[in-house]
Amino acid sequence: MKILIVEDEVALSRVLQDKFRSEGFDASVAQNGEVAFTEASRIKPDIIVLDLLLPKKDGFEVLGELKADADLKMIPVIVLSNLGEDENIKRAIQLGAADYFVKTQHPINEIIEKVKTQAEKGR
Amino acid sequence: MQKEAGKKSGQKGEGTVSRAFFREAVGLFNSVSDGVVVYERTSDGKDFIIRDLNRSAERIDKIKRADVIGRSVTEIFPGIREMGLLSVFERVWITGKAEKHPAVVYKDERISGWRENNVFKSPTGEIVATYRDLTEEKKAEEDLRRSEDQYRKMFDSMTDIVFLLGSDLKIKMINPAGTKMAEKVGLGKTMVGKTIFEAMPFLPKAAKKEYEEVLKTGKPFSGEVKYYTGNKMLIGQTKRIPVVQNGKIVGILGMIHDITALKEGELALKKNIERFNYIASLAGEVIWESDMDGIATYLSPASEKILGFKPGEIIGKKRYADLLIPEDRERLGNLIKRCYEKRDEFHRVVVIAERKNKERVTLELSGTPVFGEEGEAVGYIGIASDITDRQAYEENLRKFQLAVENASDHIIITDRDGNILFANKAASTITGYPIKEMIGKRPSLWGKQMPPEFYKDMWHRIKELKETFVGEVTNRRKNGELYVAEARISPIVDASGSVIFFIGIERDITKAKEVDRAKTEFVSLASHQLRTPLSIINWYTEMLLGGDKGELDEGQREYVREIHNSGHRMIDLVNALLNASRIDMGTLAISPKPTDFGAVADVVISELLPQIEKKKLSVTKDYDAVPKIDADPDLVRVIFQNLISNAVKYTPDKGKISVIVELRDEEVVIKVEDNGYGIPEGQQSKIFTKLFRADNAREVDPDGTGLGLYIVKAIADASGGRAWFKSKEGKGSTFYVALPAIGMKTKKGSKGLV
Repeated sequence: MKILIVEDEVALSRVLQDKFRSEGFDASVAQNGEVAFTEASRIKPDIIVLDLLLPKKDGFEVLGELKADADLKMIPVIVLSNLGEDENIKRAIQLGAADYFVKTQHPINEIIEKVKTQAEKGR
Repeated sequence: MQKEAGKKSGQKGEGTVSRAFFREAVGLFNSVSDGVVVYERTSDGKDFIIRDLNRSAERIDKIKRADVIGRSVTEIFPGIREMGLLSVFERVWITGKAEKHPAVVYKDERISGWRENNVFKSPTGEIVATYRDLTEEKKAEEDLRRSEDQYRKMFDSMTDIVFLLGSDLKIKMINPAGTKMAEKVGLGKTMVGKTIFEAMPFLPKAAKKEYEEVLKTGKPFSGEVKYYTGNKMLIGQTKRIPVVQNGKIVGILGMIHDITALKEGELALKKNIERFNYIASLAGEVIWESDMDGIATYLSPASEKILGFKPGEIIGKKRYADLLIPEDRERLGNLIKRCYEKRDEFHRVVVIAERKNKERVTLELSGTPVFGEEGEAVGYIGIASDITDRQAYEENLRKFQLAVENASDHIIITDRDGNILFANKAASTITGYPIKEMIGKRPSLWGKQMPPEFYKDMWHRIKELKETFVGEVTNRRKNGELYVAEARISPIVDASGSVIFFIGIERDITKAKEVDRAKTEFVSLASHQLRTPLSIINWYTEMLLGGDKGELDEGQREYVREIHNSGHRMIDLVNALLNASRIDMGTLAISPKPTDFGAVADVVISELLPQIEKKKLSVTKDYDAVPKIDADPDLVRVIFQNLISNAVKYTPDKGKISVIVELRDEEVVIKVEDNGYGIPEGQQSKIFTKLFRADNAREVDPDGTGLGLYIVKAIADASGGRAWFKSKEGKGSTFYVALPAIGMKTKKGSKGLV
């Protein structure tokens, strides 16, 4: 199972990559919004974990592009962000996000579990 | 006597006394004081010729013997026929019978006077007239008659009652005033002949003794008598004087002077004095009076209150000037002296006096001269008011006015129609309009930037509901710049409750709002930024503890757990800060949906279970009966989270906590009770204040944020509910949050709580 982690913070992308790999995922990382779409097109992951505050292009834009792309729109996207406001959550869901997590509010194992469940659902 | 003598001699002379006897008796003839004239009848019988006369006749009629002898009586006394004496002569000559011609006036061109004649015929056939000049007597008689008349008139016209009593106390005479009075009091008109007691039945019994005493002792009596006419009491001053004749008391002359009016006047005066004294005793002002030397002659009782001296300590003993402080003694002394000299009034002279206890008191004096009966100034009378308080008040008022004028807030006062009466400096600085341009205009000069409904609501509140309006207003400066003000407009109502003024206070909060927003945004931004490193700490420690990089030994595990727990505390703090900043920014959204309060409480309790179990607390729950309520579940969760976590934190081991949700009237009440440390009484009023932490709470948990209860209260307030508590230090606390049972009010906002 392939996963694309869109996260500019290296320490976070690394811990997520480590964790997903140890769970058997083929985990790649995109470090900014621009790279995210090209990486997604190239890898065609089974699931994408997307941060919102990204350099060059923010997560909402990336999400919009992914959902506008015929090949990629079926890939479930889980937003994992520091933003916890209603308006952001609503906007992400409206743009087609499968789920939304505020980073600090969940243990990493819980996030892995949710992503796994979502990825299996998408298959 | 002489007249009798003349008669006698005449009678004696009849037939027996010779003519020669008269001649020999010429000495006697000449020595009598009566005039004697001897006439001889003319042959035709129509006239009488003067044959002789004595010296008295010469004196009385102012004639000389030599001039008149041999001449006729009608020639010398041309008025004799008119006076009727000539016909007497004729009759006596015919009848021979002596006649008396009573006193009549003799008058001719030469002389006039009263004459009384005795005419007889001498044995020798001559007519002899002896006469007296009664002019002086008649004049005296006339005078007497006239004065008697005057007395009678006086007696008749006197308003005093005058009466004469006989020794039997029967009225012999009473003047018309007496009769009138008798009529007035309903007694009969006829009083003469009755005794005084019959005539005046209102006289007291004692009066009889008094009258008899006068008769007995001859001592005059004077006193007062009272008598009644209908319901009116009359008062008389009476005098009774004994009437003495030949050394014997024969009666009493009585007099009654009606002094009713006087008495009434006296009474009225007395009443007026009483009234004056009463008023003087009540008045806050001292009423004072002095003689022309400034010595106190009267002082009202208020002096004790104002000066500490009783009137008796000052009247007649002190000059008012002595009561003043030395500096004023001269100043006032001179001023008042000038007034005294000119007999001028003086008004509102402010002086400082020294009270008996040496305290100073500020007095305001006014005075006016008092004039005596002959128009001379005899002293001064006036009022002294204690204006110490008023002065202090005026001083305060001045300070207050200065404060208002120089306040940094914009302050205006308008009439009831909003026309500006007063504007302070800040009002001018903030709006940019000079004060002159503001006076008379309405605040719309710089207002008018809000929707019309805003102003409509504002006017409705201040004018009709007479409430204070508080709100944020956007205004426009004279230079066109917009600014935000926090406005507070209060109606000032008079005693009848109608609005007379409005006071508008505005604070330019444009900058404050900017700073506040920047601060809140900074907190928000910082909090978001903090989340990344917090997530790193959180997840890495989690993985270490989960053995992802190999098993840790017990010591390593303990250290990593400490790091993990601290990371979590920081996450909680960041969340609380974010929530508080959303509340502060007013961006908190409320999105109600049917919420099971019990289910929310259960989730919170289960999250807190590790701590509950660690402290061996017993938790009772009672909320089964409450149906789903329209509420924002996130907010309800925050309420439960804060209240229950506080109860857990601030209750010692093995303590008891109960979580109750119940419907009371029209509210859902969340009640979280513990038997923990409680809140010190002195700090209870601050418990909902942002960042406040009670002293004992700090001891138990040094890391709390002081935001939890602030957020709970803010949520309750924002959603139409309320929050309160009961607590006793050492016994425990009970926190209540009541929310409207019909549901929370929806509030549009950008942000929910974390």
